[in-house]
Amino acid sequence: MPKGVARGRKLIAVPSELISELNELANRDGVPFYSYTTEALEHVVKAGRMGRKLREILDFYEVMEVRKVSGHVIVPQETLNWLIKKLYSKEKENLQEVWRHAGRWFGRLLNAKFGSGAFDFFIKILKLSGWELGEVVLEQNANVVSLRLTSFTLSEENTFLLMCYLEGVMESLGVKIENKEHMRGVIKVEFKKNA
Amino acid sequence: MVKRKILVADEELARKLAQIAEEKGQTLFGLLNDILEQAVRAHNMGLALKFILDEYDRLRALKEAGFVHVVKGLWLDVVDKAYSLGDKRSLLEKWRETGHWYGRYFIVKCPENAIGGFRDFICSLMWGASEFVMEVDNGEVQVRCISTDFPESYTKLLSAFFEGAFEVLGYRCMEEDVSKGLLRMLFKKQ
Repeated sequence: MPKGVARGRKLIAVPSELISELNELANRDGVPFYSYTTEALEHVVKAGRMGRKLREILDFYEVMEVRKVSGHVIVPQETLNWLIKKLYSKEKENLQEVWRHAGRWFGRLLNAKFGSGAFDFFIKILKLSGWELGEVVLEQNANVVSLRLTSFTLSEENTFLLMCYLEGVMESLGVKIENKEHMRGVIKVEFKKNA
Repeated sequence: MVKRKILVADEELARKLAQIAEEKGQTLFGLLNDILEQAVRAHNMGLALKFILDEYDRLRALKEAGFVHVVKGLWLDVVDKAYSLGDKRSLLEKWRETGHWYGRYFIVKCPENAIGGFRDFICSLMWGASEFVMEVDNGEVQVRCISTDFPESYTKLLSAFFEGAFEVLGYRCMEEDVSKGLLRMLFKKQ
C-alpha cells in the first residue's frame, strides 16, 4: 500500500487535464473532490449494470430533451397504430401532409437549435430512437447520402407516414431527395446534401 | 503521451470499474477518461449524473410498457380527426380499454402498490400538459389536468383512459368535470 493512502482505497491514474476540470467543478459545487469523483464512478457502475456506457446514456438523454422541448409527447404505440389504421383509408393524403408538415417544423427547429450540426443531430435522433426503429444506416458517397431505416414493428401505413415525416425534416434541412423506396418496415432514401 | 494524475478511489469501486473495463474490452485508464469526461459534460448541462441515470431508467420503463414518442400537434390532430369523423364511441371504448390494460399492467408490475406505480408512471408521461396532478390519499384519488391546447375530444378520451385504469385498480369515479383542455376527476376506492 503506498504511503498516505487509507486502507480500502486505491490509486487510479487519470488524465491530468480532467482532474483539474473536475476539481474546479467540485469546488464550484462545494463538494469534496473525493466524494465528487466517487459519485461519478458509482454511476458508471450503475450504467454498466444496465448494460450501457455512460456516454450512450448522456447522448440518449440529450436526444430526449430535444424531443421534449420540441413538443413531442409519449403515447401508447398500440393506440397510435390503431388510430392511424382507422383513419388511413379515409384520410390518407391528409395524414401524409400532416406528417410532412410536422417533419418540416421539426427540421426548422433543429436548424434553429443546431445550425450546421442539425443534420448530424437528426441522424443521432434516429439512431438513438431505437424504440421505433430497429436499424438506421447512413452512407455517404460524395454528396449523395443514402439513409436506410428498418423496423420489424412498423405497419405499412406507419412506414409511409414516417417517410413523409423524413421528407419534411430533410426539406427543412436543405437536403434534396434524389430517390426513395419503401415497403412495410423498410425505408430507403437518397438525398443530395447541400453544401 | 497524455499527462496523468493519480486519483484515490474506494477499493471496491475500483475493483468493479476494472471489471467493467475488462467486460468492455477497454483499459481502466480509457474507461476512467470516458467517465470523467461524461461527468464534466453532465455538469455543463446543469445536471447531476444521478438525475440523468434515473431519467434513462424511467424512459426505458416507458419503452417496456409500449410507449413511443410522437409530435404532440400531430398526435392531437390525429385523435381529434378520428373523433370528429363520428366514431366517438369506439374511440372512447379504445381509451377505456387502454386504461384497463395499464391498470392491470401495474397490478402485475407493482403488486404491493399498484396505484402508486400507476401514479408515478402517469405523472412522468404527462409532460405535454401545462399542469398535471394526481393525488392519492386515504382511499381517494384526485386527478387534475390543464392544457390549453388539448382539444375537447382528447380531454374526453383522457378521462375515459383514467376511468378504465382506476376501475381495474378498484376505484370508482365519483365526480367528473371535463371540458376543452380541463379535466378534474375524483375516484373513491370500492
